[in-house]
Amino acid sequence: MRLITKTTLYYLAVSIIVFGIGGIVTYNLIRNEIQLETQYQMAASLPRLEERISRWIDRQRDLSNMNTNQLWVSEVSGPATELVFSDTVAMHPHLDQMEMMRKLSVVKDLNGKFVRIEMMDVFVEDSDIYESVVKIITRLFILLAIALILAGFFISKILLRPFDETLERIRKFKVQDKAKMDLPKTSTKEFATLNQFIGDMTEQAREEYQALKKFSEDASHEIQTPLAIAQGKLELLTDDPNLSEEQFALITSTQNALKRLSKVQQSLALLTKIENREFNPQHQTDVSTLVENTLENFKELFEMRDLRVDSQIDRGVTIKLDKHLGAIMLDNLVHNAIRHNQEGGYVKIELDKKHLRISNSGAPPPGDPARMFRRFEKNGSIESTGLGLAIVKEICDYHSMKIRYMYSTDHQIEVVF
Amino acid sequence: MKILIVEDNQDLADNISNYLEKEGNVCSKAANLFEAENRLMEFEYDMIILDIMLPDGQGLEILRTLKRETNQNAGVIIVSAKNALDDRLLGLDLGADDYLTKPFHLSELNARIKAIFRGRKFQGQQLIKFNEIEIDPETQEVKVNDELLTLTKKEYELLLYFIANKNRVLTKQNIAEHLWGDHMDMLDSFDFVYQHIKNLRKKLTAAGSEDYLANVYGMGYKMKSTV
Repeated sequence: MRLITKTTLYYLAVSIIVFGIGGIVTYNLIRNEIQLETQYQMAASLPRLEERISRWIDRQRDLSNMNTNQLWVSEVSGPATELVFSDTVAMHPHLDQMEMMRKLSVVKDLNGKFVRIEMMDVFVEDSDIYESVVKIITRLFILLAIALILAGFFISKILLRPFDETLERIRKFKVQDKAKMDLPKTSTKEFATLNQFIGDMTEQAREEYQALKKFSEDASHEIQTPLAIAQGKLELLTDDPNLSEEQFALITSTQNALKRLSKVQQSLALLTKIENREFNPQHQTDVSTLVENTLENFKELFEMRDLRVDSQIDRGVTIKLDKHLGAIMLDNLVHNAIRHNQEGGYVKIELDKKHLRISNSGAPPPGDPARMFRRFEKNGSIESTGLGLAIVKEICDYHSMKIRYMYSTDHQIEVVF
Repeated sequence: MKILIVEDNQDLADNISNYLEKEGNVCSKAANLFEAENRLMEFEYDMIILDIMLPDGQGLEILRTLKRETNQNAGVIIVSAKNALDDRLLGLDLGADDYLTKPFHLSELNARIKAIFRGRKFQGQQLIKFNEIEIDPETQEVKVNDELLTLTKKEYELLLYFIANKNRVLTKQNIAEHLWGDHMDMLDSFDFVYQHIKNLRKKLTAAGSEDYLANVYGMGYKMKSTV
């Protein structure tokens, strides 16, 4: 949920509470005010009524003729009382139904006679007040909600713009970037602190990456050079005509070991480069051609191992794949299919828009197939570096492609684009 | 052939010059950019072997100097520990003839030097002669006693490799790497080497050539210039 949506919701929740309490307060205030006003009105009309009653008494008229639905006058024995207000129910003059009313009763001494006057007035019902208050509060609340949402939308656009820009920069940031990360200027203190922090952090990451990259390049150089020296010395040694067979055998196996060491080092350097994302995975690569070229390169090896090649390659399959890495991946996969095969077996290659599948005959895998893509995982063969499939896996991960291995009647490795 | 070896590592430079001098070449060594440029101003070379990581600058600089400031017509082979594709392409763009990644076999370097030298000096029209065997690098035709021999591409490459490194022991590993490059670590590639050599020898001797290819302790082969 967006920050501004959340804030708005919290504001609205608080508003509901405030408006609820406000409603109760408003209700009570209005109710009291109306009650006081009604009583005041009745009390104010009392002197004129008293005058009228006095006149009636003077003229000896029957006071009961004065009575209406809302006025009740009768002679009593006394004594005079103060004004007393109370609630009652009486017939409404127009609506013709019983309604809540406010009643004033008093006994007055008028021209020597004690007269009880009971006066009633329609009182605004509680439920009416309640309804009105609820209506008012609801409308106000809706108005406020609309205002809050609109304001939130616009304020977030303005207020959060530097933050959104920072996010965008972070999203685009790569440790391989040549230039320092350019962050937007902002007058908001929190965002400025954030930018400062992110700027420092990315700069440090970039510097460390550059140092690491330099280190692995130098390390590669520092390892390959002595290897080249050793290799060369051994080669010069084989020129010696007095060499015995044992000595020659020792030299050859040393050369093989050096070669393997150099290959392992090169593979590790490649893995590091992939991990450091030093390639171009957005490149549109024609995989069909790449597969065909790879098969062409291995043609001789297929023939020499007497392997049948069965290929079903759809034309023009183009995916986002670094060209260099794509070639390495195919090389390793085909290489693998030849290596773990049997004399007179087959290699089957299928390519369509969705996947690449390479199947080959051969003995079932001795180990756990899930471990196959790990580094230095070898199936007993000392010739392999144990890094070929690890490199394939790394390339697949880099390009967000899935890879899986299956064995039913033959080995199958499937890459899903 | 006069060869300049630009390599900051003394041991490696010694290896290379040792090997190449046995072939009858004259080698001089330069350990840094400054020395290399001085030598290039003073002498003329047929071939330059160039390490592109030098203590006082990128070896690629020499390629630029070579083109701009001298009228050398030397072939250039870049030798680098970096297998970086960019360097390779840049080097070849600037006029290097070939690129070798460390570590390499001296026999491989030697074969490449000879191929480049032939190509530059004679525009590839020079015939390679080895006793009764004659090779035309341009048409890739091989003749024994003037009789045309049909070789496969690999057999042809193998023969050229042997002649370039005649009288030297080439291990099966050496040969496999020359023929198949990175794919040479195939389990039984050494058997294929044996197959190819067997076929080549059969074809050569059938055409009337002497059997120059000798097996050395079952681990390597040598092409002897005399039987």
